[in-house]
Amino acid sequence: MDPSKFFDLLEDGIDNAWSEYVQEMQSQLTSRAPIDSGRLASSFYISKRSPSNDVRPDNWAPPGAKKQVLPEYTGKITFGGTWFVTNNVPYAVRVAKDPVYGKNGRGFGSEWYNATVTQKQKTWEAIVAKNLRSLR
Amino acid sequence: MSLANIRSLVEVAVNDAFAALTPTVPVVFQNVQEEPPGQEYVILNLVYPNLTQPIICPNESNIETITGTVTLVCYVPRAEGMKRLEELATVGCQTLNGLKTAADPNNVRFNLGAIEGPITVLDGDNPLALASVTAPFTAKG
Repeated sequence: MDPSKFFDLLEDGIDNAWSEYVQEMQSQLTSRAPIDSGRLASSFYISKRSPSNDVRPDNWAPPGAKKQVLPEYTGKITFGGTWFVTNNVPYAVRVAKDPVYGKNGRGFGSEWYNATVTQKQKTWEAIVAKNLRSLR
Repeated sequence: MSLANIRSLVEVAVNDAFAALTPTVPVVFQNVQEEPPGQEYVILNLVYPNLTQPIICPNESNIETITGTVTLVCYVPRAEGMKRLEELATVGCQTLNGLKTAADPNNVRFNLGAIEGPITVLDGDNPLALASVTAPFTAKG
């Protein structure tokens, strides 16, 4: 490694790690959320600076359709700033926090949300270690 | 490694803490009881995202590192104020936080991470309000 490029490489590595982390959290929440029409699972939006107001429409899909589409963030995700993964479906908090409603979670059952969020530090540590090890 | 011992430590402590309240509050454990017991109760959930961590070692590929998430969801009747809901959540937080030094016949060691919550859910048409507290933990036992 050229020592003069160390900090540039480090910055790139952290940016890549952060981008992967934000998208990994979005993916985990999407893939673990209970699914019926797919409106809730498809409504985890990434945004910068302020929480997103976006939400899939009421008629996203009929009950039982399981239509899951990951919302794509089209900008570049970098380490700077404050980032959000937001879900504005009206019943999202109830399904995330009430085991009676969230029992069909596709990872960890009713704990699909809590297990994802409480383990976020471990997810970050694994991703940042992988990206820093790959610096050349 | 005994997940049963870890679960036992948490379930006994939580059950005792809510049984000591007036009136007592029933605790619902995982895979035990499908129907909620009345208007005021607590659900306790434990899940384990990871049990081991890879190492470089001539004999084994991993060492035991049990990590999990513990969640308490407290339910009370809706539209009757926050006092009872927050009381239950506080008892839950204090009980989980005290597990590190709890005497345990199986010598389980339990370390709780940062507690998220209590997060309350008061909206919708559900007749019950809830407060959820959740935290990561590591355990050995």
